[in-house]
Amino acid sequence: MILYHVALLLATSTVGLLTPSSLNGVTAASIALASSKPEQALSPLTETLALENVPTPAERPVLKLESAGKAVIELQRQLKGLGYYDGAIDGQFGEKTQAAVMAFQAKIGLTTDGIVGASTWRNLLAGQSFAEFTPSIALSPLLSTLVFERTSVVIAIQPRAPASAPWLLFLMPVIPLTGGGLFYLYRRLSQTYRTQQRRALRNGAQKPLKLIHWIEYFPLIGLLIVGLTTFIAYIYVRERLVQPTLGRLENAALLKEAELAHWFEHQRRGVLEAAEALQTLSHIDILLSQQKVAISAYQEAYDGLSSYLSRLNTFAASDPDLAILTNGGIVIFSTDKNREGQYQPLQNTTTYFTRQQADQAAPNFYTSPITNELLITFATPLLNQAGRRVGVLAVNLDLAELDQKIRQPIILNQSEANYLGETGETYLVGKSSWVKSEFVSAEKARNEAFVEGVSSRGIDSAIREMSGSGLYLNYAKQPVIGVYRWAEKQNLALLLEVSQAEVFRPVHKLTRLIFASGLVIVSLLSLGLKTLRNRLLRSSDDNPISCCNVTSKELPTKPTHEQGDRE
Amino acid sequence: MRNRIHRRLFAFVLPLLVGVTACDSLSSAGQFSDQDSTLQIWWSEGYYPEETETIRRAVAAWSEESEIEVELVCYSEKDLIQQSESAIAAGNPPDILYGYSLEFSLIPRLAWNGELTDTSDIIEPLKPLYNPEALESVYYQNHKAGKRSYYAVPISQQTTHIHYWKDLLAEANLSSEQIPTEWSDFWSFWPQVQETLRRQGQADELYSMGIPMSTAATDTFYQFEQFLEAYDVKLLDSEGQLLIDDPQVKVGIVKALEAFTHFYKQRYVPPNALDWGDPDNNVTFLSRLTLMTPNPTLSIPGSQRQDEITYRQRMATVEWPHKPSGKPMRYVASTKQVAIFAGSKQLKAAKEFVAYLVEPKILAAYIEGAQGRFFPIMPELLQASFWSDSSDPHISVAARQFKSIRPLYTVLSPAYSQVQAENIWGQAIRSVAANGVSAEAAADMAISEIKRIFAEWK
Repeated sequence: MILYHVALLLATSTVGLLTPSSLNGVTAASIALASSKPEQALSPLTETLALENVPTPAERPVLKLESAGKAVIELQRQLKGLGYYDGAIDGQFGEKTQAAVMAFQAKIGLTTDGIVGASTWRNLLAGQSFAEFTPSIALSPLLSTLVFERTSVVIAIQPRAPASAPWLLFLMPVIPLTGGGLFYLYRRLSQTYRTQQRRALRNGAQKPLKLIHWIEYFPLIGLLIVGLTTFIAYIYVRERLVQPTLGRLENAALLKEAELAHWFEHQRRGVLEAAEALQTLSHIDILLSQQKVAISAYQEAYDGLSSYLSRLNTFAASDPDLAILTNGGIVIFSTDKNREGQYQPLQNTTTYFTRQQADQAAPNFYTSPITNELLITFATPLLNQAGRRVGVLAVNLDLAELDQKIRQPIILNQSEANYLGETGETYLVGKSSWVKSEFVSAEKARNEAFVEGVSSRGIDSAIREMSGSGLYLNYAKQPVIGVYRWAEKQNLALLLEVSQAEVFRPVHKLTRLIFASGLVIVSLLSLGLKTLRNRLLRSSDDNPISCCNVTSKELPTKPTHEQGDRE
Repeated sequence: MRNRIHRRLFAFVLPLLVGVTACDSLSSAGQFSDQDSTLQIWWSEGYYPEETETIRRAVAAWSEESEIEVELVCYSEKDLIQQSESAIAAGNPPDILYGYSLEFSLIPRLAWNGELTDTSDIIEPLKPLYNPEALESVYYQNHKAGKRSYYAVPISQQTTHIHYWKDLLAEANLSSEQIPTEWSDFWSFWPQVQETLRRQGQADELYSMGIPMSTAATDTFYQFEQFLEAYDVKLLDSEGQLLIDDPQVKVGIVKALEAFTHFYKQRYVPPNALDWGDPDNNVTFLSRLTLMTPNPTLSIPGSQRQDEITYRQRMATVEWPHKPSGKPMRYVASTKQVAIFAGSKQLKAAKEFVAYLVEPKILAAYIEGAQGRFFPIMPELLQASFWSDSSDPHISVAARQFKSIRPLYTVLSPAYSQVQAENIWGQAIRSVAANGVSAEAAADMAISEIKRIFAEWK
């Protein structure tokens, strides 16, 4: 690192010396931009996020009409974010806040008493209405507080791999080499001139002065300095850009992980609530009965269930396919009629859970052999009054919604662009079979381009249950800066990546400027010096002793070989 | 008195603990409990809840009896392999591991590397009760210790069964009695039924055979091993040495590859069988999109056991035809086995649990509870009505099959587990089915890969 600083000092001072003031300004500004750490940027290896310091719902105060204080502000923000409250965030629990609380309680099925106790807090915070959550920070003050304001974040990150060099890095050393090559060419071309010089010397003329001799090397030295300066500036500034980018990606990863967890939590609850509602219906008994029933009675039950399910809204914005299965896994009713009569495994590919096990059920991502669709199916038993399983509710989750949520850009406020940058991409990958990982997406086209599955260093590491970050080629072989997470409970890999081209755009611009300016200056100086040299030579031919105030002691007493002689 | 209260409290709390954490499909064990004091068991998730429930019951009962806390975590098979590999690499495997496909690939390697506990003390007292093939299947070479011993405990066995829809056959005016018993007649019978049914108006989605052609299914190589057996191809001698340089062996491999992939190439197998995982032939068959399917366990009838009509009347199981040579078929059987890691911090408890599970009464309850997906490896268990019911259209056929079995090649050489782990036969089959590679070229590829693996396994 010290070396970097020294190098940068050298680089900037050289550039400062060589470039006009306008260029110098650009350089300084670019470096300053690269060096400054945005406030959001965290150093994930050293800092810690005390997520557990956030009060749990049970620890939050009970709020009711006429309560006041910070907790009310948080409540109002939360309600506002969820669209239930449009009043002022004033910390006063007035009638408007109460009405919003009651509306929220009614929506999620709590007692509508307008009192915010642990249960209302839990639902407010843990995302009972998470389906309505968007990753806009304005909509989730709690998360924004956690993610963007706290300076302590703990993420289980493996030691970061050293920033791998893109192709440009390999190109850089070529620059001085090209300079050397050009110089060699120059020497070869000027060989005739030297031959003449030697002849002149042999004929008794004085040898050219040493100082003049060195002028010949100026283009090489100049090019070397320019190349080296460009290279060091590139490496240094590039490194300074990587850290803040990773910081942003890691912040965003926290947000998306929370979003992912909440989405699945919401689906689990939706499945359980739907099953609970369905169990009470007599239609189910008729449909699942092993006994023969009249066709009309069956049809009536079928229609009744169909109409009931169309009104059932336990999944909010999600639009999953619901199916009722027999104990043998045969679909007897489905919102997707094509599934009826087909077999849906009750377990293995299907994620089957009872109410007691729901929180721990890790979703299983798989490909349906019937439709070739990528699916996650949640299933839970339908129990009769005696607690015996009479059938199963199986729900194909709305992966299109999940994909859309995860891919949604993070907008910090209305006027700003994606927090991760124009090329920022956030997506999920799951292991769809032993031999294949695929995007968690309902869009077939997304995976069709990758017949053998998607793969990258980030994807492969995350699928092997390792979280981390680094510079690597993404699934499309594009260089990215990425953060990858193994979402353990969701059994999925979460990736957040931004194109290296975008992140390093300023540094590319800067190095191009340094190099071009350096090249121009070296060329001009070379030309100038060449002219000077020729003049000096001419004047030394005329009056060798007086030239440049060089004394006769400094002059060689006998002719020595020039470098060019060896060639 | 105090002790009694403690015991009662424990008896009350423990089932709750087990109930809550049992088979919770968590991706990471050890979240709820201290790994050092809790027995960690990783198990294959069942194909249906009853199968998972039966191990949960066994664990809960033992935990209550022994007063040892257990964390039972169930994974679907594709996740279990990944989880196990990751945990082993990270140095924190569970105490006990069971997966229905792990003896194909992982367990022989773990035994070879000395990572499993010698289970002779569990097996010795029960030796007279086991099938000899079952014991042979867990008698592994420990390369590290330079000895051969029992490094896993057999709990059940499997072989390949053929299921078909009787009612679909009837729609084509055919009956079970008309199914040929000779090799070539048998395999040309089903395509004919497909043609007949389609002519009669059955949807084009109905295919005659559900045979995986994929590298993502262990079913692919397992069923192909049965084809190799049918063509009397012997890949290893009794010392575990490769015989594949014998030209006759290659001829047999080519014949088996041609026969296996012929069905796909002639469009008698669903097109997406190229990508099927293990459960997918079950799903396709039970969705009545295939007329018949071979399957290496009895999971298909097992899943329908509660539906008497489907189980007894609509669906049937038939023995494989005679070999092309006319000899009766011998079945490739694999022994399901539980392994205990050598580094287990709960070694004593782990051994006690496994010993408990293989007590004949407990094991019988466990296997029957799984609705017959796997078959007993203790002859005395076969006396139970569950296995001896001659009216059972599936178990009765399976019982006849298990009378003539041979184990997988992993018993002769642990290197063969790598052949299965890499699904070399699956690769060869898929290349012929999907990419139009000749059976000969695919056989050459497989032979060279097998040789490479055996050369590496030194």
